[in-house]
Amino acid sequence: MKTGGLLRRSFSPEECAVTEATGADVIDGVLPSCVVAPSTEVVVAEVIRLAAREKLAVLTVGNRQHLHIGNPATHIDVLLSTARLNHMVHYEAADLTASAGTGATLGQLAALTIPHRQFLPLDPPGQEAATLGGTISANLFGSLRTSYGTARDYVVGARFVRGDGTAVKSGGRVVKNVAGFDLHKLLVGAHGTLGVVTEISLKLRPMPESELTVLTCVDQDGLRRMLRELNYSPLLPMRVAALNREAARAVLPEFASRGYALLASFGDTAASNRLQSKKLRALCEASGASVTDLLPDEIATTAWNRLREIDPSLDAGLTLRVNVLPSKSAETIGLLNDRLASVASHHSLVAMPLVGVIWLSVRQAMQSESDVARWSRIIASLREAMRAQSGSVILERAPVALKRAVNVWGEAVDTAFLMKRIRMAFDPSGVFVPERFLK
Amino acid sequence: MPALLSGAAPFTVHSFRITITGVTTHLSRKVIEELTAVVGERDVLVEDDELMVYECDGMVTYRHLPDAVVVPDSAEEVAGIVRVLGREGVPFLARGAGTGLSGGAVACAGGVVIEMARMNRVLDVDAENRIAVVESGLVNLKLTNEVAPISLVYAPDPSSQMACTIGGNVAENSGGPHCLKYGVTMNHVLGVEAVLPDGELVRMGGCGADAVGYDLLGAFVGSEGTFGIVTKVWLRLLKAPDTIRTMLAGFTSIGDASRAVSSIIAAGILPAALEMMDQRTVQAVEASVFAAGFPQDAAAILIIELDGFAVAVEEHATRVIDLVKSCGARNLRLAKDAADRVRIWMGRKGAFGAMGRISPDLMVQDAVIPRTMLPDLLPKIVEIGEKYNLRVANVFHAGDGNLHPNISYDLRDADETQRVKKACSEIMKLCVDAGGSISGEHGIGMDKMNYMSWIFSETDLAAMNDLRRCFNPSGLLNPGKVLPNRTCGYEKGFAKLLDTVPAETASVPR
Repeated sequence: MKTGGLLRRSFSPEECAVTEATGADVIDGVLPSCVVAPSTEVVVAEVIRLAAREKLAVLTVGNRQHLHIGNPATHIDVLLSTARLNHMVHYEAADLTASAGTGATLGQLAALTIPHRQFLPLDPPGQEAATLGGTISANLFGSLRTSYGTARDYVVGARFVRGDGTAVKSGGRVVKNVAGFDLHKLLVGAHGTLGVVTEISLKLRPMPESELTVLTCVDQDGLRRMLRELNYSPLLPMRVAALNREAARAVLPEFASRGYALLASFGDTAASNRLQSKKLRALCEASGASVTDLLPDEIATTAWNRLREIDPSLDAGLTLRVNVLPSKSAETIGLLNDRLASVASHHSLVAMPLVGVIWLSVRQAMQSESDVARWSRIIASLREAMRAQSGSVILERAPVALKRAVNVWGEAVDTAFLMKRIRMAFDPSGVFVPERFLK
Repeated sequence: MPALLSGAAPFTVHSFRITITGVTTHLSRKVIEELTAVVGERDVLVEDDELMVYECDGMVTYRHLPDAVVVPDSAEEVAGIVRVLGREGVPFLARGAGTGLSGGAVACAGGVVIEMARMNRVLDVDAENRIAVVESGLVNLKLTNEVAPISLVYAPDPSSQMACTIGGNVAENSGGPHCLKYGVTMNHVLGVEAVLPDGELVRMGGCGADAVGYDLLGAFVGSEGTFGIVTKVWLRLLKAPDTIRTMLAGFTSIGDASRAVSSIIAAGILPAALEMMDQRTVQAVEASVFAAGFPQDAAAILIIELDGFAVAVEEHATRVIDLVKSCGARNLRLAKDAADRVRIWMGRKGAFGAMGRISPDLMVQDAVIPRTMLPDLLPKIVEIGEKYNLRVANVFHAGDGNLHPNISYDLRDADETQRVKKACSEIMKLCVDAGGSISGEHGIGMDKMNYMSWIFSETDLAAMNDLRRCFNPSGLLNPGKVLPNRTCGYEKGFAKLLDTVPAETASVPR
């Protein structure tokens, strides 16, 4: 109440709308005091200056689709919504560049660029409504990462407000630029803990001329052989996903899969796609795949879209993200699938095997303290197993009781001291709820 | 060549005087002994004739002799050297091949140069994951050659790739002709092992699997050797393209060539490389050992390279040919085989060397503009040259809008040198006003520190300085680079010294 009043007194509603937080604003069990929506970067800077002075904790939010990622906050005073910072700054098709306010959505950007057959190749869950700021801050991606990389490959510049309320620019709007230190790269994946991103400049790509998707079905051993062959082949798939039976049921309900379903697509010219698909199907069959089909375009599009949104559709209680070396994907998928089968009644597994990212979702609710203790142990043992493979396990979604019991990011890395120094340099008074990211 | 400064001065200069006076950075016997204890006597160089090699990098207008050069064999030795120097408060920097073009590898505050050339091994090539692990002193082209037999490539290919090192590439976030499609060094580095200025050996980045925490690597790559000394690098390799088609198109005007560039991009085709050379550059190349049969009567030529699967490449090649013809291309030539392709690229990459034949000195500049501004800006750059009675030649990565205006001149001619300074400054201003940047790949180094305030505010620069302090709190690692001195208050020991450095040198905006 007090915080909201203070902010309301400091700004006109046009500058910065201030509303009391409600139950809908609870994040990991923490009820913020108020929600503010600044209209410009200047106002953002004033809000942050005030917050630093009054020792308020400020969490920046976009469309709030991925706030389950991160440790629980100990305390949040202000939710800073970027909804009003959603203007397009520039889009120059011939330069393949665009800049926009942090609150602009990927859908908003796509509506501008797709008529020119260009796009930002980031396809996180909730894509249409995902804000640029949220996508960049949480370093979100989807299956396109297989061939297009991640946000850091596309962010060429940014503006942001530091923890002391100063506004800073880094990079520029041109596709190639080495002037100065790349602060904007640090903002990618920083979960808002280094500043409030206000504007983002991006490099775009031409859209694939066409896409052709192959669906195949393999057992554990076949998956390993196939991925290996694919890695050594000259084929350049645009996206590849491996799904266990439960995930496959959600993505392709009409398809009865045995073992793992593997979706792979090519995004070159139509002739090249046909040729590569043919080679891939031959490779699948040689690896012992039971079915390989070319999916009709419409079915393929639906499948890829469902795959992107699979996590929310499962209404998962718990989602783990596992990172491993790509060559370890197949054996890790097998290992995780077996482990999870022994501890949960249902689990879905979706992997991007060529980049070494595997998501596991379990529906099971965490009802008692013993559930929490049990899952803490399961996660600890998975982390140990993955450490042996130089991999890591991130708890992306979990009931708050479990998130309080385990560090969602895993154990501290060797460079934690540097990260802390950087966080302290950009947010010395801890305005940006640092405990969500670096504990 | 003017007479060298008197023997009292600790360094020699060309006619661009670097007026550092009253500073003694000579190392004490104790420091030399401690360095010797780390690397052995043979690997500590202190004689002036040995140090001369390290006086400057590829940007010869900035010169300063280091007090010593140390040649380590391992990361542990690098860490040992750094600990000694940190303890004694001696500035230091790492140097790869010294091919940099912004004065980044010059010991402008004296101190010690750590020569990385001997740490040049390929430690591992993981073909399945397409990752190479290399020491930082490895020459860029050696990696490419090493992985070619297994049909892999390391994409970033700066023109200096025959000499430049991977560590230098990481420091400068180097580009090259093929970064239009494949991106710059940043996009190909998965992890680095580096010695921080306090002597701590750390690993940043994923080394194959995603890392957790801030993207330190993203900040580190391109920090121009001021955040740490790279000792080991994990690099992404790509599958060698199935087919490469290289073509050459001559145009009767730079405007036509620029329009061809835009029309290719607008058609949704992303060539592997899209390079432009103007007539002056072409003529210089054709008169040199790099002669590649470029049409000398064309006002500008484009080198267009497409790669991918044969069926797609052929389809795109047909479309590109139609597009460039509709923009007025003539002298269309397709590389007939791999040898012909190499010849074309030797011509392009030899352009700087060839330009050097025309006059005693060459100012190689680097700036970026939005690609769409090419037709407007290129004639203006030529005009600026004419205004100062200078020969400006352009060779550049047209697809990225990354310009390299080159000015031939004679450093011994003080008046001409002064005009070069002014022209460079005006060209840079033109690019900045067009929404561009002051460097696309050569870095800021010493050369462009004073342009930084054209594109960044005091608060932007302060934020960058704060980040640098996180990695380099003492400021001893590669001082006097990237950020204009007024924002580097922490480099107190050097503040007086550095304030005087760029004042009378090449690129001072008025």
